[in-house]
Amino acid sequence: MKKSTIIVIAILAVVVIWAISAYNGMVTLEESVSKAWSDVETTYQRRADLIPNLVNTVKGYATHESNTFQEVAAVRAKATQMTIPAEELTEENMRKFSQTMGEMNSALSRLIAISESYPELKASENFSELQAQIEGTENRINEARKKYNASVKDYNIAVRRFPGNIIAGIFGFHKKAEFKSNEGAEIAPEVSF
Amino acid sequence: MNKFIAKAVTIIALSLAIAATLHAGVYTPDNLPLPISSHKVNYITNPDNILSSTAMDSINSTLSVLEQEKGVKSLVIVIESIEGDDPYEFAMEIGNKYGVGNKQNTGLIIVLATVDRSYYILTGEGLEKFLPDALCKRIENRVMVPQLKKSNWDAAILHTARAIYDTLNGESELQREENNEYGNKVVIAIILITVSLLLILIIFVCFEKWKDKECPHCKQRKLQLTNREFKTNKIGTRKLIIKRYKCSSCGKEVTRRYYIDLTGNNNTGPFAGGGFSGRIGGGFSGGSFRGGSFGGGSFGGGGAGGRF
Repeated sequence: MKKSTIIVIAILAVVVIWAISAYNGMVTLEESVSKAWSDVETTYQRRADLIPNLVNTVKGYATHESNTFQEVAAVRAKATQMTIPAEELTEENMRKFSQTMGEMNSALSRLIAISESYPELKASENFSELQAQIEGTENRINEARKKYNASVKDYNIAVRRFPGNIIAGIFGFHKKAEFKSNEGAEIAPEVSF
Repeated sequence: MNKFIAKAVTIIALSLAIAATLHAGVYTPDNLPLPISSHKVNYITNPDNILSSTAMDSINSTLSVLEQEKGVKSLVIVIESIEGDDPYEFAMEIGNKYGVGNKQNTGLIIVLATVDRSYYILTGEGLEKFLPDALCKRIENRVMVPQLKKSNWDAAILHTARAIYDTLNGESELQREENNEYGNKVVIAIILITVSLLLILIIFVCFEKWKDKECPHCKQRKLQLTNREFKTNKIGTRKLIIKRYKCSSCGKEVTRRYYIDLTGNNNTGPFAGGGFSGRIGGGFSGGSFRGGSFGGGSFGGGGAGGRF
């Protein structure tokens, strides 16, 4: 009787210790996901911040492109409002985010494409440096996205694998969505001559 | 038959030779050799001998001042061609593979592929603030590309290194971080050792007490200390402790005697001697060579590049 009680208590203790460590592990992974996600948002924010500079530079040379400027401003406004809290990184939200950022991407490429018809603009140092900044931001976005996807992968494995999924179910750790390669880019930017 | 074999051998040898020449000068992050250095600081990997040795000396001395004053660890890669023709990806992979830079993340990689006609300046995450992409581009546009267009590889790299040094030299906020890594490790080690010694001591004492409680007659751990006596011998070299116990189970009395040597020779306790010798911790792992023992540097995609 006494021995069996001890055994039961020992098993319970082992289970509780395992549950605590599994829970703590998930918390750590979730934190790294939200850190990686905020890095992704920061890099997109950084790109959005470059747009007014780029628009002003292009405006100086290309005065007849007001339609494009308005469009870019609208897309930028939409994109800067788009944020997803780390708790709501669902497939649905992620698709919306990806699409909005894709729109901004194509607006930006249209803006840069304008430079092709304005040799003076293309040759200006200001424009060249801005372009370098935008390219750098694209690179940062890719890096941040890679890191985010890697951390989501680790997190999802921990949350979905048995028996960790029991703990995840009890404490409400949900699967998080990866950032698929530009879904917005499927809508190819319009090229009109 | 012999003729056929001879022919086959020639064909194989020829194709191998062609493959070798095709391969020469085309590098991937995996087959790129790190800077070779036997006796002096070297930040440059120049496997295709594109740079002259005098230019390399000047570049090295500029970059070594940069490292000493600002803690910026550089890697200059001058090759003919990059597999895949993507200098950014190439630099990123090299940077992350070897952790170019240090804990400050102020690593710097300059790539030039002369046959591809592409170049890239990649900045570590900590360096982006001081050397933003636009500034990299400006240095490239004003200093590097004009020389590249004239195929002055030596001047292109040397002037770029100097321009970067001049730019960073104005940044008083960027300072070489004192390497207190070692100090921290020693402190942590001392704390850990103290704590573990204390734990061992506590366990030891508890174990002794627990053992003391065992009654030699009935083998039950029911002994209670009833009396303690101290005696010192006449010449003062030994101290005697007499502990008397009574067993609460069988009622018998137990006396135990302990001697403590007071001469001091053997009184140092169980944890004497030894001491800690040797370095605690040790250096970083990863690719290390003189002039840039790398480790810990990370890259977030900063920098700028282009083609000429």
